[in-house]
Amino acid sequence: VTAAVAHAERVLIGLPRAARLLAAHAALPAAVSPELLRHLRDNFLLDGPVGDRLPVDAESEAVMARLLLSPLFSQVADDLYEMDVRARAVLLGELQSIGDGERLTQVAVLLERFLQERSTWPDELQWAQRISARVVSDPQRVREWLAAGVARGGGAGLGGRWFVAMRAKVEQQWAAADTLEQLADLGATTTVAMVFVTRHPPLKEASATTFRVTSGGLWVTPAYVVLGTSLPLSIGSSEQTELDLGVRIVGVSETHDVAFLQSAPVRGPGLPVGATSGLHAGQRLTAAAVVGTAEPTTVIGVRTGRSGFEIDLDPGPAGSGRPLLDRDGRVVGMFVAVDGSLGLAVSAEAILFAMAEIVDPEIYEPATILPADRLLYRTLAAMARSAGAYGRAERFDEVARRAEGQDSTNHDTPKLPFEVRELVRRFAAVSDIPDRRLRVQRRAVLLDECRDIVARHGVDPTWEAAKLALLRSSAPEERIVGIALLQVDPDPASIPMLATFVDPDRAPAHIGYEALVALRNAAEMLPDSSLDLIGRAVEIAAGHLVGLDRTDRAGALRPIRKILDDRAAAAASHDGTSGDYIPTVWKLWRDRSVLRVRFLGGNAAQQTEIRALAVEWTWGTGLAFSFLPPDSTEAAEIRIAVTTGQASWSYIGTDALTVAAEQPTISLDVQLPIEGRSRGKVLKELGHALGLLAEHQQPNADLPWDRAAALAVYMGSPHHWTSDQVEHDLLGRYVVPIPPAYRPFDPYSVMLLPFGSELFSRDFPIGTNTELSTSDRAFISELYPPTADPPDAVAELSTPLRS
Amino acid sequence: MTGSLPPAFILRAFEDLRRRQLGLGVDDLLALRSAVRAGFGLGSDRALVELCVTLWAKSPGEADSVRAVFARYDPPAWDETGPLHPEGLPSRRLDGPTGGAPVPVLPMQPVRAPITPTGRIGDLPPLPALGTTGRQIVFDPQFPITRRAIGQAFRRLLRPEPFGPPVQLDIEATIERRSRSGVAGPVVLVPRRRNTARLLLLVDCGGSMVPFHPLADHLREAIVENGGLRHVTVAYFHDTPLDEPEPRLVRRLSRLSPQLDPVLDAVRGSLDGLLFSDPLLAEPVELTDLVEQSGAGTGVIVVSDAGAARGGVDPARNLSCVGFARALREDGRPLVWLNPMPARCWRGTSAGELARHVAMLPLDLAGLHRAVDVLRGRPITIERAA
Repeated sequence: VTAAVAHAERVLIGLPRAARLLAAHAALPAAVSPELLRHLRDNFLLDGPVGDRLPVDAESEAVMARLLLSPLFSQVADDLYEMDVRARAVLLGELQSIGDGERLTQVAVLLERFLQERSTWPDELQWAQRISARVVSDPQRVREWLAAGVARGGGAGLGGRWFVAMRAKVEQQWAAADTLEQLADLGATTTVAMVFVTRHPPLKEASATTFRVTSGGLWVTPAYVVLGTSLPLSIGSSEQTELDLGVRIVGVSETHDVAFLQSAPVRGPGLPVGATSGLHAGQRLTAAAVVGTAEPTTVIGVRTGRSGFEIDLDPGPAGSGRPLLDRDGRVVGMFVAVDGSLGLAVSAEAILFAMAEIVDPEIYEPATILPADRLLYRTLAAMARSAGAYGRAERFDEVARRAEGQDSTNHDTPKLPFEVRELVRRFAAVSDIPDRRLRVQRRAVLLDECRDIVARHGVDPTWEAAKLALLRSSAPEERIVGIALLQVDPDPASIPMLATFVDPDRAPAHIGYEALVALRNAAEMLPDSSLDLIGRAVEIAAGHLVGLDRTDRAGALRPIRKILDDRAAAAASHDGTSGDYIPTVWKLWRDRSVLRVRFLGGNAAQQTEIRALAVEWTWGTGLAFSFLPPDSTEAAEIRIAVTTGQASWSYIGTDALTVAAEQPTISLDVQLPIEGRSRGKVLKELGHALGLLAEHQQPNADLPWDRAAALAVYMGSPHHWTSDQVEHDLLGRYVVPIPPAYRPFDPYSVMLLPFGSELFSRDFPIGTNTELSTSDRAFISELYPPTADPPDAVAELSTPLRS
Repeated sequence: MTGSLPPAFILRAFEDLRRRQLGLGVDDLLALRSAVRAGFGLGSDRALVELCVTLWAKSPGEADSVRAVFARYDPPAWDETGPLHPEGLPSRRLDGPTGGAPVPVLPMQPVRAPITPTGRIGDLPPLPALGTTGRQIVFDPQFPITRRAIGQAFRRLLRPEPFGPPVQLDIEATIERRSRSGVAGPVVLVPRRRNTARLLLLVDCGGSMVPFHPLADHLREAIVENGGLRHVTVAYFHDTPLDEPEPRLVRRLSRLSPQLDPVLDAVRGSLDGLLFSDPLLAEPVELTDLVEQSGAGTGVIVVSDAGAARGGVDPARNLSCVGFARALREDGRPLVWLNPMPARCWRGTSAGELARHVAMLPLDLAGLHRAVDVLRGRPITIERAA
C-alpha cells in the first residue's frame, strides 16, 4: 500500500454520471480504441435510466471524446488509450457491482467477440485483452497461466517477455484493487480527519483538521491550510498510519475563510449541518476531533453575527478546522483561528455559502444523497439564487429533488423554503417538551425567529404561496408554523382561515389556542381598515367554538372583542391634535423575574452610578436587576453601552430579546456626576428597558403640538429627521389595546422629555424631570407587583405578550 | 384500426430500436400487424422476430440490432409448427456458436474462426472460460447522423450539367418546336443532366481528433457514397492545413488575449501547406495542388475540433487557419468548418476565436444542412470574416 495510490482517483472527479458509467465499462479491456468505446456505449448505455444513458447524439460524441482525452486515459498508440491503473481499480469495482457481476461478464463477452470479429490488433494486444477479460473473475487461473508462460519462455505464439510484462501489469492491478478495499474501509468511519502536507516526502505533517458535511468525498477546512500551498495534500486519521486519501483542492473562499477538498468517494454520511440562529451567548458546543488524537472539547459560543462567532478555546495544534457541534450533533461552525484569548469560528451558514459559491453540483456529485444532504442542497440552491448564480441554483435544486425521490417523508411540502421547514421541525420538537415553562420559553424564541424570517422575506410572491401552503397543509405541525407566522405578521387575507382553525373538533386543541392568539395579535396590529374583517372573523370563530361550553366560548373571544371595541372607541374619540395612533403591544418582562445586566464599557464609577439609578425603578416591585460581574460569561437580557457625547437610547422591554447577544440593548451618555438633565435621561432609558413608553407618546397623552413648528424644528439642524420620523417618534401616540390600561398622562414623569414651548400651539409648560414621579412609582409597581417572595434568582426569558 | 395495442415486448423493442436510429414509425408497426394478420410470423417466437427483421432492418447491422433487442425482452416462447429450423437459429453467444447454417432473411455477419481462447495452447494450461450471458452483442456503430441523413443533406449540393448523348425527352422544347412548325416533327432530345458538384473534404487527424476518427470516417464514407456528388477529394492534416504562420505576425499577437483582431488585416491568404491523402499521414500532397485539382469554385469542408475537445487556446494555429480561409475566399471558394464538439464547448478555446472569423458549424444534422447551404452560396453571419 502506498500513500500515493489514491491520488490517481482525482482523475475520476469531474466526470458526469453517464461518462463515469461508460468509463467503468471501459475499465475491463487492457486498452480501448474509440471504436471499442463506441461499441461499449451502443451495447450498454443506450437504454438505461435517463441519467445513466448516453443517447445517440452530438453531446454524447463530445462526452466520449472528452473521456478519452481526460487524464483518466493516456494514449499508448495511434488509436489506443490505456486507463490509469488506480482509477481502473475503482471503476472495475463499480462495474462489478452492476447486476452483481453480470455486467462484467457481458463486457468480457463483448470484448472477446470484438477480438474475434472486428479487431485488427496485433496478437500481443489481443492476448492482453483476453487476459484482462478474465483476470477479474478468475485471478488464480490467470496467474497460473501467466506463470506457465513465463516458465516455458513463451507460448501461444507469444514471446517470454510478453508473459513477464503481462504478469507485472496484472500484479499492479491487484495491488491497486487491494488498496482500494482498505481506502473504502478508512472512509467508512471517517467524517473528521486530519489534513497532511507532505513537505519532505515521505514525511507528512498534520496541518489542520477537516470534516465532511455531505456523503461522497467533499471535505471542509480553513482556507489558510491550502492557500499558497503547491505541496501535495492528503487526509487521513493519523500521522502514523500509512493509509491516507489524496485530495485535490476544489476551491477556496477567502471571504468566508473556507476551503473545500475533494477525495475519492468515501462511504457513510457526513456531519449534519445546523444553523447559528439557535446559538446564544454561553451556549456549550462540542469541538469534534479526529478519533484518537484529541478528546472532544466543550467550548462556550459567543455569537457575533452571520459570518462567524467567538469561542473561549484554543484547541491546540492542528486544531483549526475542528467542527463545532451543537447538542444535536449538528455542525454550527468551524474553528479557524485564535485571536488573543478567544477562538474564532466560521459559521455553518458561511460554510454553506462558500459551498454554494464554489462547489459545482455538476462536477461534484455525491454518490448517494442522504436526507441531510437534501436539506443541504436546498439551502445551497437558495443561496446560489440569492447570489444570482441561476444555473447553479437549478442544479442544486435538481440534486435536492433527486434526493427527494429517495426520501418520501417530506414530499408534501416541496415548495417551502428551507428555513421554514426547519421551523416546522423545531416547532414539532417544542411540543414534545414536557415542562410547560420551558415550552413557552422555546416558543417565544421560535416566534422571534418567525419575525426574522418574515422580515427577510417581505412581500415575495413565492413566500406568500409558501405561507398559504403551510396553512392548508394536512400536517398539524406545518399548520402551526403557518399560524405562528401570522401571529408575528398578521395578514388580512388569512384572517377568515384563522377563524376556522379555532374549531376544536377539526383541529388539535393547541392549534385552536394558537389561532386565537394570532387572531388577537391581528386585532392589535392590523390597521383600522381591517377591524371589520376581524370582527366578522371573530363571529365565525364563535360559530366554530360550539364544542366549548358557553362560558369558555365567551372567555376565549372576550379579550379580542374588547380590543376591537377599544380600538373603535379610540378611533372615534381621536381629536386630531396629536398624530395618528400607532398600535403596539405591551413588552413587559415576566413577573418576578431577575433581569441580568451586563456593562459593555464604562468605568467602575459610571457603572456604580447607573446601578444606583436602576434600583430606583425596581425598588418595591416584583422585578430585580442582577448586575453580572465583569468576568462572567453568562447571558444577559440587558446590555448597557456607556458612551460620551452620543445620543442615549434603549429598546423597549422585551424587544431587547431580539438584539444579537453581543450588541447593547441600552446606550447611555454618561458624564459624572450623573445629575440634573443627565440623571433624568438615564432614568428614562431604564424605564424604557422595563417596558414603559415615552410619556409624550403614551396613549393618554394629548399634547397641544404645533405641527408646523415641530416639523420645522426636528427636520432642521441638528436633528435632520424625516417628516415620517417626526410623525412617528414625536407626534404619534401609541395605542396599547390590551390591559392593563396605560396610566393617565403625567407631566411630572421622568419618562417625559423637557420639550420647549415653541413646539406647542398654546402655553404648555414642561419642566426638566429628574426624579421618578409618584405616578411613575405607582405605575411600575402596578405593572410588576411586589410579592411576598423576593424575586426568583433564576431568570426567565419573558414571553413577549402579557395577557 | 381496431385500437388494440401490440404486445408490450414489441412496443418496448420498437422504442429501443428507434433509439438506435432504425428510422421506424407507425407505418412499420402497421406493416407488422398486416403481416401477422396475413399469417406471417405466427409459427413461433423466432419466426416473429425474423418477420420483424424482414420488415424493419435495412442492413445486416440493423438485423443484428433487431434480434439483440428482442432477445433482451425475452418474448413469450411458442412453437406451433414444429422445429422451423432443426438446428435452431444461430446463437451469437461466445460460449460456442452452435453451428448450423440457417438461411436467415438477412445474412449474419461473417464470423471469424475463433482463436479457441478456452482451449489448450501448446503446453500452456487452459485459460478460464468466460461466464455466459443472455445478452446479445451487436457491432453496428451508432452515429448521431445516419448515412442516409448525411446523403440527403449533400444531395442538396446540386450543380447539374448536361452529360453524354441526347437521350432525355425535352417536352417544353418539343411542344415549342411543333407548335412553331405546325408539323409533328421529331421530339427534342437533350443529354441527361448530372450533378457536377465537387467537394474538397479536409479532415483533421491525430491528437484530440483521435476519438472522433470513427465519426469522421463515417461522415467521409457517407458523403462519398451517398452524397451523389461528382467527386469528393479527401485529404488529412494535423491541427492546421497550413504550415507555420508568419513569425512577424505571431510576434505581434497579444500574450494576454487569444484574439487575432490586432493582426487580422495583415494576414495574407496562403495555401502553402502539406496535407496527406491517408489518415495515417503517410502520403503527402500539396494543398495548392489539391485546391487546383478540385476545380474552380469547389466548396471546402474542414472537419476539426479546432482545439475545443482539449480546451486549449493557440492563437498561432488560428492565425494559419485564418490565412487558409482568406486564400480560399480570395479564390471564390466557400469554406465551412465542421466541429464535432457542440458549440457550447467552443467558448474559451481556439475554436471560439476561430469561429469569429470562419463559418464554423457544429457537426450535427442542423449544422450539416446549414453547411450545405453555405456551400451553395447562402451567406452566413461571421463576426469578422477572414
